[in-house]
Amino acid sequence: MNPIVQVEDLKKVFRTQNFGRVSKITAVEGVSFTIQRGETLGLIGESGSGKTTVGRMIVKLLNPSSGHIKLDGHDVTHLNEKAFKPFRKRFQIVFQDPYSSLNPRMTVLQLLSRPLSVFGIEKDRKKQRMKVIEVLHDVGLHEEHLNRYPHEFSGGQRQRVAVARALMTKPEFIVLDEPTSALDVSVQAQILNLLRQLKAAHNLTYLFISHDLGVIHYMCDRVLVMYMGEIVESAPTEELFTSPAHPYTRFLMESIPDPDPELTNEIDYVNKVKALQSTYGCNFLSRCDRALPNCFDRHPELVKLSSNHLVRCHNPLKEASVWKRDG
Amino acid sequence: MSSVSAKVLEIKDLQVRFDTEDGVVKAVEDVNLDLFSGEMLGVVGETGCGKSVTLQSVLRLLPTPPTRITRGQILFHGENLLDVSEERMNEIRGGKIAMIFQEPMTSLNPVFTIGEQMRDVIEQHRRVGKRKANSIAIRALIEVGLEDAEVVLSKYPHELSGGQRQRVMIAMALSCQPEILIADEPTTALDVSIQAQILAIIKHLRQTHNMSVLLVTHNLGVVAQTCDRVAVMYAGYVVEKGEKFGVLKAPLHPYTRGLLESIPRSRKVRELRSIPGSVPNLIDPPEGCRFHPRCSFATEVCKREVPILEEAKPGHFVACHHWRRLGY
Amino acid sequence: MKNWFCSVRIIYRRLRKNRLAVVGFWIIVAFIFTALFAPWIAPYDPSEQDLLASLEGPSVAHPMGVDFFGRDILSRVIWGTRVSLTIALMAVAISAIVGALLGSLAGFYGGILDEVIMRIMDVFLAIPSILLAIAIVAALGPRTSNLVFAVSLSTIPEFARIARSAVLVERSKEYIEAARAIGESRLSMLFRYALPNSLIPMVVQASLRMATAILSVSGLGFLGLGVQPPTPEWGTDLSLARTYLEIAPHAGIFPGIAIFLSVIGFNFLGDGLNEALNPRLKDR
Repeated sequence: MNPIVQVEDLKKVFRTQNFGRVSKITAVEGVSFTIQRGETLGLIGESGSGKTTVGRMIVKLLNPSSGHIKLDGHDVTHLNEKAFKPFRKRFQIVFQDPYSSLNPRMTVLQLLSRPLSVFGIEKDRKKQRMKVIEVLHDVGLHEEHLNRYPHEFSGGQRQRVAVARALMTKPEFIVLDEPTSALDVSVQAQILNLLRQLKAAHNLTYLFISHDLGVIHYMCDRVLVMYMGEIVESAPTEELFTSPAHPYTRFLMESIPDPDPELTNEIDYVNKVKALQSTYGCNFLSRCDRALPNCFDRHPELVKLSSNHLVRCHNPLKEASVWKRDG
Repeated sequence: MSSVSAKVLEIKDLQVRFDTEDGVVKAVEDVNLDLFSGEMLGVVGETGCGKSVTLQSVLRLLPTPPTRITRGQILFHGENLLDVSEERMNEIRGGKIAMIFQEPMTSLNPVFTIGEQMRDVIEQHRRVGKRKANSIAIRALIEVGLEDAEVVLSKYPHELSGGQRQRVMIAMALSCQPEILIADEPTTALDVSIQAQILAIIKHLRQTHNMSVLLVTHNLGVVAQTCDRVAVMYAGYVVEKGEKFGVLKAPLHPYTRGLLESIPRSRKVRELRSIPGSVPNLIDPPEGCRFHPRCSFATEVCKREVPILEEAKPGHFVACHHWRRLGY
Repeated sequence: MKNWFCSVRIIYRRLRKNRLAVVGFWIIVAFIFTALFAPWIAPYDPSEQDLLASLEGPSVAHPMGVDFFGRDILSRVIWGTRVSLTIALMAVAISAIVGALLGSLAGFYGGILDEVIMRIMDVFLAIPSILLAIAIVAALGPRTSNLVFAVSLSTIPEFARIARSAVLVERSKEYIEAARAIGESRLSMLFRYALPNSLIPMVVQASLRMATAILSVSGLGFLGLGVQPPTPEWGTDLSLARTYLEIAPHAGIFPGIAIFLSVIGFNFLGDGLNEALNPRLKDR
């Protein structure tokens, strides 16, 4: 069986114009990965790492500058909007901010019945309504919410509506682009649990994009770590968290303040300040405390540590666990 | 430790209301908080719990109207800040009590360089000349880890990164040698790695300058890693407060417990417990304990009576009718 | 619909706090009432001549006096309200619709379409609007339909610019991307999503433009290019009265006051609306 998503050597260059001066920003560079049916792949990185750009390219909200995207074995890289439309039905996306991703002038019924009309799934108003109610129940909302507008809901409820919209077409795959980072913790937990339930109930495959390691750990089977447009590490979740190989991954883990006051991380932050994209050496060089002479003049390749653990580092960490917590 | 040192700030029975088009928002109810010399107190809670409003009322930063401080006192070394004149307030603001915000861009003026703004603030509060102000600014910037201080001084706010801007804000606050630093979600807009740096800087400065810090955040991890004591707020009330080890390791309030259980932590895989429902609308808040509609322990009494904040264990306060049933 | 009603209620509540806007609102309500019920309010037929009373000053029988042709000025001002408001309203409606269409297409599609549309609009903006209107009416003849056309043509660019910038703002919002992700066509994204969310600044503009449209209609009338006598229209009447201004000032003053009040009413309301809608009322 084909992997549901296959991405090869993806690159995205944004051109920005500032008072006539054109500058190019490489947001994503040489990104390749596959997503198997039924798995949840996590994509983690800080702002500017290119994780969101990757997510948008998969559902063709952005076109890659080079590289290929195969959805269920079909190369969709150069398809036009019309030819891509059948894929839209099967490959959906949920956005970060439910305050801006829902049209403020549409009721829940209108928002959720649009996909049915657009894809010709159901034209009859009454049947549309039934289907909408069915999906609303799936996401924990009710019939009474049908005629309300987005501003009448709390953040968590809005995100439920946004998830419901993505589910309307019965997709196989959903990009979840930081779906809970605009929400409060207690509500975040509700949405994460909902997403896990929905995945099981509808045989979904997720690409879960987040900057929160805790959320990624809770949701994902496998994780890609992105730094400055590149994948720097890729591993099954457990392995990544018990034995991260890239100094950046470990750095990220150490940076999270744990709510348990007894687990403390005292690390030296003074030298981990600037992020510079270097022309020759490793991108992480300026923040790395393990740099070797090699790191200054050769950009590292993504190499295999084991069959499913890849890392882009000349001097990867080898200790079994650097994680001081949980003893 | 806190019992021996002096109280620098005392918030007493604070009650704050907002007049809006839809009605009166009961934003803060009977909040009591003490800040001791040299201590770091974390105020945590979710959106709309009143944590920011409480701390902004300390510096009288909230516009009136629509804000009304309907009751309470804010004592800074015994002086009620709610009564003092605007001139006295200006002296205190920035000079004695400094504040940094979530988005430093909103408190920096985009048309002046960092140097101009810092010097201006320093000259005003420390009554020194231009040259002296400049050297104070440079020293403050170096202290917050901006080694190339002179370069930073010549830059405009938009030329700096988010983390750098937050450091500038801290340096600016620091340069006036305040006794209290109020940090309102100082790291929320930043990446985790930058957040860790900023928190490390705040912690370090507190020790070297013997400042008291009031940190407002929604992130329990931040509190656990930086503060001495914690106050948890929900829907305008302080529902639990005490030493961080007590509150975070053995929470007595169902809300604190729910909050802790809903954080997905990288090292613990289990079904996340979430708190059902969402934060109430404070125009028409629930009667009695404002948490009762979301609480699995709620009984009749919770619907009727507002629980008072009582000392359950030495130094550990909780506002819940049933904390004994929840005790560890 | 409920959503619209909801926003209208909020706008009204905010508007009420602005005293000038309330004044403007009531002035306009009064004018609209006058226009609708002109036949019942007006004491005389506006074209009925009583030559014996020619240029007679205000009296009980003729509260605003009589003009040169012996017609009751009050009745003419009342009927003139109907003419002026109708023409102005039609002109603004047309230019708002056409301007919104052009502007939103330009803003949403961008690229060459944007360039072409907006440069044409720039050309129109470069010609003083009254001059443009004069030229059109002079070329096509002073019929009411031409008048509407002339006045609307000169206001289209304003609406186009506002619609374009509003759509540009909306276009970058996530819900437009979300619409694309559920397979909405470009036109649907524009007309179902971006445009309905861009209407509020257009409403403000429409109110302000009503004022200028009334001025243009009266101006053209004053120059003899507007509504032709004997149809009562403020500008035309003002122009007729000009000749006798020294002996019978009332013949000019009252139509003048009508123009003044209506213009100021729409301006107050427009400014008030602008304030009520800014900061934006969405999402709270």
